[in-house]
Amino acid sequence: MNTINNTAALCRLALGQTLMVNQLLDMEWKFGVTVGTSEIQKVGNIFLQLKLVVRKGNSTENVYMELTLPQFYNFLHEMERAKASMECFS
Amino acid sequence: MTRRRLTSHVNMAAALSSEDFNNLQLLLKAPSKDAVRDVCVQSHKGPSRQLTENMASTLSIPATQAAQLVRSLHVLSHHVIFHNLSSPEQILAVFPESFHSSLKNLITKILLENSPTWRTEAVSDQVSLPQLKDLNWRVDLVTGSDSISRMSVPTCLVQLKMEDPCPSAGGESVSTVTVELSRESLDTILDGLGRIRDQLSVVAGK
Repeated sequence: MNTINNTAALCRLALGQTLMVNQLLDMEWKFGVTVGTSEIQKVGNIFLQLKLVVRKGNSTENVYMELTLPQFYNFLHEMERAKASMECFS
Repeated sequence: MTRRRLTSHVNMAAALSSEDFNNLQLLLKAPSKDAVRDVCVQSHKGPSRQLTENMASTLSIPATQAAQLVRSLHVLSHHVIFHNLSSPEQILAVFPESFHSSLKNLITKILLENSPTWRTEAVSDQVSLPQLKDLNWRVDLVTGSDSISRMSVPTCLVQLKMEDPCPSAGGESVSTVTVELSRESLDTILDGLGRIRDQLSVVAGK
């Protein structure tokens, strides 16, 4: 029994050590409304900013980006499709 | 896209002066209404030597006057966009009483025609973090590694293409990041995106 448990634990450890390239570690976000710009006094568009923390070798890199609402919904849609694809393997 | 908008921000702060309106009346020398239209649209983008030279020859005026006219048109069109002047009355009110009446009407018409496009451009060009332009993904099944010879673990690669609308001088405007996500990470991301979606619907509902 112990041998089986230990093997399972070792396998999980080994799996956890499998190479991952640019592994995504964390995602932070904020969103709000653009009130005005130097070109337009009153704007009123919603913006969404994402920060992705990516493991690069031994250190991490932060990737910042901005999305419009349509881009956000597309991102969400694509990630749902990716998840559905992943679930084919379970 | 390599437009440089630095000067437009400097000019934006300037209100229209009587000197600007004097410069605008140089447009009376234009050979046609289409020439006036062309000059207005080109000036909105910003000054350039080519534009000044073309305008000087089209209007048969010295280059210095052409440059001043470009600047005044630029200030006017950006003033209209900044304050969102969207009716003829609002734009006509910018001009002094003494301004040539037909020219005033023509310039107003041209500004009204182009405002929607210019406003959309201003919104898409505004100061921003790199914008997500394209997203591609791939799901792989990892069947072996240096730590385990036989395995069956799905993993997801996501490639994000970002474009910086205002890259710094010498900087690249398009960058690509590819990240790898485990199933757990993807679930966490979807959880986060779901929460964003819920928060957004609260904001949109207000």
